[in-house]
Amino acid sequence: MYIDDRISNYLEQIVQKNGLTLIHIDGTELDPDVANGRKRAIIINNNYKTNFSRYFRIAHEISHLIYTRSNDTYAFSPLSKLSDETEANLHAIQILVDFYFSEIPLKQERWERRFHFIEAFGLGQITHLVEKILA
Amino acid sequence: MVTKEQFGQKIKHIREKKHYTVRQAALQGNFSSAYLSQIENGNKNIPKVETLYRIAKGLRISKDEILHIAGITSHTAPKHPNNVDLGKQFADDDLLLSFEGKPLSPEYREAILSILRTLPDVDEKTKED
Repeated sequence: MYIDDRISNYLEQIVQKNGLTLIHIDGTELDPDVANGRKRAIIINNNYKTNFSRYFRIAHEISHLIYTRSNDTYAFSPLSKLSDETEANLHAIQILVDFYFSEIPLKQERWERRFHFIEAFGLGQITHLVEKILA
Repeated sequence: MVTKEQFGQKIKHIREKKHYTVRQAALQGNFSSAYLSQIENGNKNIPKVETLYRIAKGLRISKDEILHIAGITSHTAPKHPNNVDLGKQFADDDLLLSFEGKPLSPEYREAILSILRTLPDVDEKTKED
């Protein structure tokens, strides 16, 4: 099985286990992916132009629905956007790390391969967050 | 999964039922007759959401209906149709989280809302489980 199929299955399992709905649509290059808490739905725009990989984007939206929306105080804080996004990114990285390094338990080895990981999922813009998780 | 051929046939069927000519539908939706013919004959892929909306306008059908015909919302149709008022919810942008916190264009936002309207609320999902 190719890595694409395996990670798709892995993310699909998380989606199902958490009772989420994942929908793909064709918007323009500028239309971002969307998550909605009330419907527990993730909508991925197939045409969205971004350096982040599709798998990271799905993991990011999953994280919003599973982790960052659980506490309403976050939602109404003026800084909620920033903290929610960062938190979703960290959780998304952790989801992908669990998959990517499933056969590499050693922290040191994971750290040494972090740039492969960053490249595989298009995470160059958030290298610091990847390093925070893997450190 | 709706194929482009099935989509085209359905579009043609609706147009003929409404007694619109290809030219008339094209004028109403602001696209070319040639484009509509290609769609109807299955020679074009199912278009993007905003183009679907123009076709909907051309055929005088609702946005929800065209999304359904295109197979975008078919598999997510609720078992028990309900009238969910999302107006209040979406008055607050924060509840519609977008990737990288980017704003949504009005057209895209409308497309997203159309899709979300077809989904049951979390409470209902839990009940069904």
